[in-house]
Amino acid sequence: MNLLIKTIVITTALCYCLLATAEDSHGHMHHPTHDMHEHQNHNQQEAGSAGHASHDGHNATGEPALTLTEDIESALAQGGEPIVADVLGVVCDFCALAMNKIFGKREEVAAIYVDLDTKALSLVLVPGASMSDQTIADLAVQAGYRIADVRRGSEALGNPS
Amino acid sequence: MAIYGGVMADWETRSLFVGYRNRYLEAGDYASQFMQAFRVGFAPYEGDSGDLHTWLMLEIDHRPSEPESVTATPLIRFFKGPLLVEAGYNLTANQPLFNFTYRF
Repeated sequence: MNLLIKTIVITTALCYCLLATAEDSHGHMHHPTHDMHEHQNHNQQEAGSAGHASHDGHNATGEPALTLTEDIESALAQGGEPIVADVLGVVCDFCALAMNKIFGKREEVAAIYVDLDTKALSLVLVPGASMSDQTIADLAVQAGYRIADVRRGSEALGNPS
Repeated sequence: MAIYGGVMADWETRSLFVGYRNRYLEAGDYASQFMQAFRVGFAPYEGDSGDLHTWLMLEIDHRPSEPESVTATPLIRFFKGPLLVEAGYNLTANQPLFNFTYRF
């Protein structure tokens, strides 16, 4: 019983400390799309800051759109094709790192971002390069994930086709 | 001849984690060990890609061959990019726990 009480007390204390730390640091941390629905003003104030995404996360039909990080915007400005792929079950940044590494190694890929909020993989290809839906699906499988849908071009940017 | 095997499974969301793992080692006269561990955790905030992620976890270990067969270890897990660190303390065995993983 002592053990259980000790465990509960220590865990509760740790939780309290971390919650306090998280509350305190929330305003200073760089969250690309975190809390994008609840904190629109927060995102608007920070839009344009380094490393931040600034879209509302979805296109007109409610599907996730391209997440606009600094790298993604830079690649788009150079004329690369935007692609958004819905990834099933991507909730962990440490696991999603495999996708960053596998897609990031490809010569066709100019920029990549895995958005854990929208569960979408944002890609911008090198100008003139192409990547088939099947290749995207195969690379995602190599990373341990499955792709539910792929959108390209204006649809990926959040505009209805 | 030695036999070694194990199973690991987990379920998680952005803020909840449940995991189970076990392993079995049979090495003749040298060793015969089985252990299983159940872990629950939650994240006090939801980090995005590239952020520092924090998880508070509790692991319950069961090692039938040990005098204290069931032990509890509260721990804290941090990860950012390819680096994952866990630090905790086994309350039953009075031993610290430290795990470190780097994803190449």
